[in-house]
Amino acid sequence: MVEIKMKMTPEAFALWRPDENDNGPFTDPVDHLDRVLVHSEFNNFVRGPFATTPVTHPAVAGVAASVSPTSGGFLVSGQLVVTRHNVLAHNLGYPPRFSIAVDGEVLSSGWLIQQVGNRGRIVYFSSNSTHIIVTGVGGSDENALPAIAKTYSVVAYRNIAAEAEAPQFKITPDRLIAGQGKLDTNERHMRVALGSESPLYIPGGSLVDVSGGAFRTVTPKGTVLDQPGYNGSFSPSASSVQVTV
Amino acid sequence: MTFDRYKFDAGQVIMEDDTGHRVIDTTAPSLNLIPAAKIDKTAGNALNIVFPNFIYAAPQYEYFSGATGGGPPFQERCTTYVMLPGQEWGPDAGGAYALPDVLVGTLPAGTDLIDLFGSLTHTNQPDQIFGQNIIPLQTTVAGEKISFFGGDVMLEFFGIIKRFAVVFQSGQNVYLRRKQSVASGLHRIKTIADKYQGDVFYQTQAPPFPFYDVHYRHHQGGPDACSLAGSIDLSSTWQFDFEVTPINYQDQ
Repeated sequence: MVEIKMKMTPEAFALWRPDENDNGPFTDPVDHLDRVLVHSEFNNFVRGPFATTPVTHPAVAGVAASVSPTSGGFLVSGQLVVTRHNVLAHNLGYPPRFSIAVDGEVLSSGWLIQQVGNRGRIVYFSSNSTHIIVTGVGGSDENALPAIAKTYSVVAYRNIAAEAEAPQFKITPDRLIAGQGKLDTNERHMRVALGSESPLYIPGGSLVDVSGGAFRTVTPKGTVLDQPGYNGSFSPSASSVQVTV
Repeated sequence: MTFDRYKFDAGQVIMEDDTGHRVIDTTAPSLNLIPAAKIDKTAGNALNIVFPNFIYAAPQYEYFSGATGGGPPFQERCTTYVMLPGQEWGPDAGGAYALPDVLVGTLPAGTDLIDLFGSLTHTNQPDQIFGQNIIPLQTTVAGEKISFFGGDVMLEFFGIIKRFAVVFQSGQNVYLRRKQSVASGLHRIKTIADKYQGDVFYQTQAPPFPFYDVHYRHHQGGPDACSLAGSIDLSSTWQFDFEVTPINYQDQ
């Protein structure tokens, strides 16, 4: 059986796996990460506002080849169109950390979501003090890039600071608060998913490559999407992590 | 008083909320952010990441002359171009194409993942290619932040040209890796010179016209040939203004 130690003092609260009954993980958690489970000096991805938001990325009209005045006599076709979509109104008053998932897979910043021949669309994500935003960059050639619908599962993560007047540990039948409010059973935060839970897959490392002037993306579950011309052999070296929020 | 939402025994700690969701379950650990060990590359510590100019092939010269019905030429044109061959740059590329990884900082032992939070600014943009910009994919709007796992950042996009960076963990170090790639082939990307002359007057002679004598005015080596001296600067600089925060989740 794995032993777990819990300790609270006026200064800190922690759960850890003891090693010869030492207090190192409690007094110096950063140097004992491999054994600390919970510590009031740490932060968590505490779930704030969240939503599942459908977005229809608009079609990008094709543009017939023509000689651009600045093209040096070359035929230029197609266009790039940038569109921004607010996918969550969080109103936290600051730009928060966030995660954006499609089909249960958390995407990194800049992701190829559509490729039709030489036409494609990349999305990237940002937050401001009121919203989480998906920005799509769609490119056509002489033919249009079709519209595409995506459903984004968006979570904004709240900044939680210790409250000086709050206790290090308080337990009632309904609620447990520790670490001066940093751990609160009324709040959800990101943790590894149990087998019975529907997981969210987050990247364990890099999932993008470029070669042959083209991107390859591999989703956290392993779906590969290449742009035409990709000539590398990239596969992710790190496994994704299955979490719940 | 009952405490059936909490369990502290048998090597397992469970704390549930009022829906039965396990907020804490030590068999499914929380993803702990370690703020005391974050690598702060914000403001004055921001990283300026340079993607170098590409390596070009010799300029390409194109010449044509026009004639009808076997008669004398009446027009000619020369055009020269900056030529960009396919190429791959990155940490594993050799010689001039090598882009060594940039050390960002160090992490405490036991770090399982890294969290990235900050902004990106495109501080030096490449020259245009035939009047078209290399599209920056990620320039962060003022007041906005990007937040992501995995470390991948697609940066630039232009048909044949792509650039991207990845911030990654290797042991206890964090590095920033750059890669830039040009599609295979040989691409004309800038006109150096373009000269055209119609209504060329050739000295009156009876056919056959002495080819070398009447034109080649714009031909390479001719008296009014197009220049072969051209350049383009597609180097690019991005400012990475961000925090790298270690994450530990007790991977068992």
